[in-house]
Amino acid sequence: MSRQENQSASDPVGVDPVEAGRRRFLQMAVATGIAFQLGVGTADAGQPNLIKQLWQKQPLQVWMLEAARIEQTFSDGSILPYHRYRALGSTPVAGSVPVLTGAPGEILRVRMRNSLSYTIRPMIVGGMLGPTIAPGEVVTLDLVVPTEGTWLLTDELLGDAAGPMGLGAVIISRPHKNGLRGGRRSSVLGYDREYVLLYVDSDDRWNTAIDTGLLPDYTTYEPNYHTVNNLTFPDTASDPGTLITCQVGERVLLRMCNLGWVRQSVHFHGYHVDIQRINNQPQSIFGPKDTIPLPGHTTLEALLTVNQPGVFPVHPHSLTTTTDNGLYIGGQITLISAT
Amino acid sequence: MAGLGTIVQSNYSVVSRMSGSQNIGGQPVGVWYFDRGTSFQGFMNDRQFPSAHLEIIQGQTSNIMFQNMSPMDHTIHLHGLDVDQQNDGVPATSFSVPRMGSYTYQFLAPHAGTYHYHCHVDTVIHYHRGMSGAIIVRPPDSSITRAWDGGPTFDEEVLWHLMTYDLTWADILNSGTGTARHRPDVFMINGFSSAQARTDLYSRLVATVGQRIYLRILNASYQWGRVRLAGLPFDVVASDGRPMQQVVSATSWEIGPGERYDLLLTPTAPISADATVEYLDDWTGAVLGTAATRLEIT
Ligand SMILES: [Cu+2]
Ligand SMILES: [Cu+2]
Repeated sequence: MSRQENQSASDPVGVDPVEAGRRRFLQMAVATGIAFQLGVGTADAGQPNLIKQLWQKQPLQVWMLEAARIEQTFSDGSILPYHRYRALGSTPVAGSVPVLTGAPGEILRVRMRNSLSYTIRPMIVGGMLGPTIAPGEVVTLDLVVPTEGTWLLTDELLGDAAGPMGLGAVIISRPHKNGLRGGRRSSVLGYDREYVLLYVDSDDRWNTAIDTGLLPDYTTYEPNYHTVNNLTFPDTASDPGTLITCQVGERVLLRMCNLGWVRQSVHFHGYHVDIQRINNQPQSIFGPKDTIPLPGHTTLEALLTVNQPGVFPVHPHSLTTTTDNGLYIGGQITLISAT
Repeated sequence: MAGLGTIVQSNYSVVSRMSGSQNIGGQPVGVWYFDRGTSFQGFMNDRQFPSAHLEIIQGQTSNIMFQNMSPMDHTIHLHGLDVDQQNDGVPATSFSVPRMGSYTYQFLAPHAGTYHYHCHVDTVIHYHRGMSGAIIVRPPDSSITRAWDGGPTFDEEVLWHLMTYDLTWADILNSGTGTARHRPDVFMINGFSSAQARTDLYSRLVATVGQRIYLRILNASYQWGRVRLAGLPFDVVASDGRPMQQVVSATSWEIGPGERYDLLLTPTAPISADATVEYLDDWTGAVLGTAATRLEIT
């Protein structure tokens, strides 16, 4: 069977691939129930009614994001356009990926500016569908943070292309002071340190088309650039958000997030890890594994118990992902450095 | 036992060679491989693609005496064996073994199970050309009929080393734009497409009713593989060298690149049918191609 026959079989004639991609997203938004309560206002409006009572007695986190065009240069010399969320102000990042954190029950306020040339619509996978944001507009989203977990923030209108374009951020819910060891009773995931790794795969043909206002060929997607936290190796080895630095005896929580649709299989050198939860649902099937499945649009929380010192790579094992447009070594290789 | 269990030991001589040839997809292809030192053969001592498998013993210090008899640098990465940094076989974090050089990789063999080794130099191309093999860790008593201490026993044992091949990569020596996208044309079990795999002694699942077949699967391809044993239910008992937290009963199982799963099949009736691996497009999930061998239960 040829590749082409198979692809046409799964993409029947007459289905608009853009619409199909969007429908897939809408299903994702509601599939696991709406985890986040949502209140929406604009920058000029008053406090949304939903949270009026809550916000006076709860701490209010305000994180600022801008959806913006960014160019990235790779080791092979090529420059790829991305449309990413840029963290503004004191909004924390892993690499350059915004990581919005809040504690269960808190209000997490996201002020989002759309500096792109088209309308966007933020969504949290398995969490909520937000309002549309026109070019130039600023919208404030107020989210009531659910119980502990890790979520992907991405865009519903960009659909299948949101991952390749890099339009994503990570939202973390964890107890304020008790997420770390010492307060394990308050956290379902006792750990000493935590890291966020956001995997993004991109097909340069898609990024170039979308960046110039065209539709990509939705029937073919063959990614050739692969980033973690918007970085490639060896930059991942010096970035404090991506170089997993730890000590023997510690437990490190890895929040593995796949913004794309490509099904990954991520190998750890040096260690087996325990998969705690997949899409915030506890898993009790796998024992310790050195190679873990990370499907598209999934968050996976794994615990690494550091039982030996050393520097060890972590990378997907479909090995084109460890290259920049085919050139090894690059792509989605990150390191663990344990002392 | 389909070529398994004949040599179980802690010390191996392993040699890398870049002079191999194998018929892949109907044409002779130059392959690179690891053999056990003298035979100029890789997998099961009768083919040069993929590399030879090794069987070692849990709890014992293993020595892999590696000789690089080839014109390029290579390493041995011991995938899943959680060895120390010095013996991890990654040039960026340890070192590579120069052409005509040698090094003895030393490590304590971990929990009994199915593992993997491969070259980690310019990995995207060296791995694809055949420098990948399976490692089986036997229990401390070296048993070849029990999966691990306290684990299941079996009557027959088969190893499936899954691979796909992109023929446009056949003559590539170094990674670059030619290795940006992997578009497989050939879909294999143990280095053979269906026509050969159906008659391959080392790939076929052959037993009598009531016997227990232990199938170790290593996915060394760049695609996910979906395994079916002619629709018969099997138990998924171990993955990546550790028992499953819960044994899962299934009729199909999907295995990611670099993952290993151990399946236990106990046929209750005679059957003669294909057992298959469907290789999946990692974006659409569509079946790109299938490798089949035979399930023969009498
Ligand atoms: Cu090599
Ligand atoms: Cu590996």
